[in-house]
Amino acid sequence: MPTLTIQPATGACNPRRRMFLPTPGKYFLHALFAVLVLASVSCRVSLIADRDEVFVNRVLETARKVDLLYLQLMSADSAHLKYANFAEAWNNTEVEIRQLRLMAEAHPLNRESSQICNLLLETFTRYKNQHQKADIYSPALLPIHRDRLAEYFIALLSVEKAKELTKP
Amino acid sequence: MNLNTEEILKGLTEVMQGHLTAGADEVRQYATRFMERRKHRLNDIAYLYANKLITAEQMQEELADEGRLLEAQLLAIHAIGKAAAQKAANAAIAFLADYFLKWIKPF
Repeated sequence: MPTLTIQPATGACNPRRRMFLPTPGKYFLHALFAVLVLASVSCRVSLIADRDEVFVNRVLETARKVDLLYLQLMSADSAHLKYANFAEAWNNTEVEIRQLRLMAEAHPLNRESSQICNLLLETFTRYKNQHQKADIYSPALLPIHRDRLAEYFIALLSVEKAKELTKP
Repeated sequence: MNLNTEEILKGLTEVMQGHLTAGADEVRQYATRFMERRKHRLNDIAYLYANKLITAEQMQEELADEGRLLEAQLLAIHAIGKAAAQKAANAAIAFLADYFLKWIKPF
């Protein structure tokens, strides 16, 4: 009478299992760490945009134009401080600031710079509208406004300088 | 070979601390400078108002402008902090990658 024998289901008697399914141990750890190392090497955290030299030059150029406008306003005598004499310069400078804001907004991860540009534009247009409405600019306030507008450009440049910190 | 978690944590702390300290120094430097310049401007505004060279309304507008500028400066500080955090996080990742590479070498 034939007898039925049951063999224990071990990997040793199953060549297919031995070939394709490694037992947990050294090989599994190798694979796990290979994955970890590959993931770590290729992974990079990005919280802020990279430094952009074109933007830096644009900030400097816009700062120069704003400064030039205020220098002209400060050099003019009270009789010549009428808005009409400076309307073109005000408009040209406003266009520059708007372009700067567009450039800042075009970059991803550049939220702070574009918000600083918004605040700069808000302040600048307030001074422009004030001059237009009153048709005179208080000479006492001119140096303070010039200094304040320069601070916005310093803020923008400080952000760009900080981006150098992110370089490997 | 076992993973030495203490060694990993110590290394990570050292690597990140260096970058975060550099960021903090940058923030301190920037904040000190803009606070000095703000002090001068506020003194000037107070002088103009005290000498009736500007009206109370103008003074209030000037102070509102200073508030807007402060917002911009705080945004700049936020960005500096982000840059330092990014550098520290990437340095930590590089440290971990190096550590694991050394760790699996004997296998």
